[in-house]
Amino acid sequence: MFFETFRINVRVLKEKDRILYDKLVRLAGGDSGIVIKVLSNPHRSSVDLKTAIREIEELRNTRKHAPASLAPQAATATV
Amino acid sequence: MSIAWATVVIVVLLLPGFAFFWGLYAPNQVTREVSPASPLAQLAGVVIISFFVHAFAYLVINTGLCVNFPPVAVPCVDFDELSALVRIDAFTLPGTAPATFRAMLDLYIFWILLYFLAAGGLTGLAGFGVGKLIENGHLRGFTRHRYLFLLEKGRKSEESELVRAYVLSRTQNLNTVIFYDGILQDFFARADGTISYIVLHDANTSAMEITASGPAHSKDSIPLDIESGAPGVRGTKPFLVITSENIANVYFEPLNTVRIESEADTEVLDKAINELEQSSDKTTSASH
Repeated sequence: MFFETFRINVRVLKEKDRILYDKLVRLAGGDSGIVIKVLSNPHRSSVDLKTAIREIEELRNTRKHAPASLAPQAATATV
Repeated sequence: MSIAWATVVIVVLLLPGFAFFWGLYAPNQVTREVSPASPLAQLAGVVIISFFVHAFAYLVINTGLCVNFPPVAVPCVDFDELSALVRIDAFTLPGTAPATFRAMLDLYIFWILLYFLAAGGLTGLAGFGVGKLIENGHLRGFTRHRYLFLLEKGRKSEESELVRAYVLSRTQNLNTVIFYDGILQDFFARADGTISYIVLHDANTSAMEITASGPAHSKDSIPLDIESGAPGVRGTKPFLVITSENIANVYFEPLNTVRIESEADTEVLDKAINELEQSSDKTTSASH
């Protein structure tokens, strides 16, 4: 242990957070870009789950009705 | 014999210093970075801590406990006996009768063991306390790579704090470079703060073209998980590991914290997912 100072292992993602993220992606119809767009709003630091669900559903429905040619942009919405 | 004995003595005497660093590392992995990259420099820290612990303990025992603590007959530390025991030469000095320590050890072995257990335990606790202070942000001046704490903060939070990572790889073809993005799962860093490898959940890949007017990111981002979006039935979720050889740089983006006000919120989410997937199942079966 004394000489194990050359490595730093940092686990970032909690299991419950991963499960929540996967559920949000499922709610977004498999489009993780929608979830990222909702969760990377620069005007807020946090969002309650109900608001996130509503915003994801709105974006999902908007994109469902958008022309097919715009669909690929969904995945790169935040890049 | 004398070298072996000296080694044993040194290791035992340095026990408080080792215990301090064991305690320091215990709260989390990130506190490891407070230790210098050189084990030799850390050994110096162990020696200094052990020296001051023993000096303080000597002061407390010989001026307080063994004199003014009548309920228990605490023996004083006999430094002459200790120094003779530390030097193996004391056993075999020519022309002198060999010093015998058996009687002394038989008499005081309990107190000697108690001393080292107490010294090691207390310094270990002190190290643990320092580690917790660093973890909670009170001693960040001792750290060199603060971004590690920022990333680890999400794991310690009760709320859901996700970090998005954008990795520019070294894989390229002419002016086009492969780009990865995904939810940061965990990563391994070296003591100098550079990333050894990172693990991404729900990873996507895309391309970035370097042009005269600047980098241009492709509009298409392809999920690496071909089953992305399908109802999750697999026990092990896919993840992407990128090693340092393939990492040019990484951009970390902490996402909005998701607050779950009550259990009802997650039930609403589950219900919404069920409704969506049932309606899509109906649409699929109707189209067939």
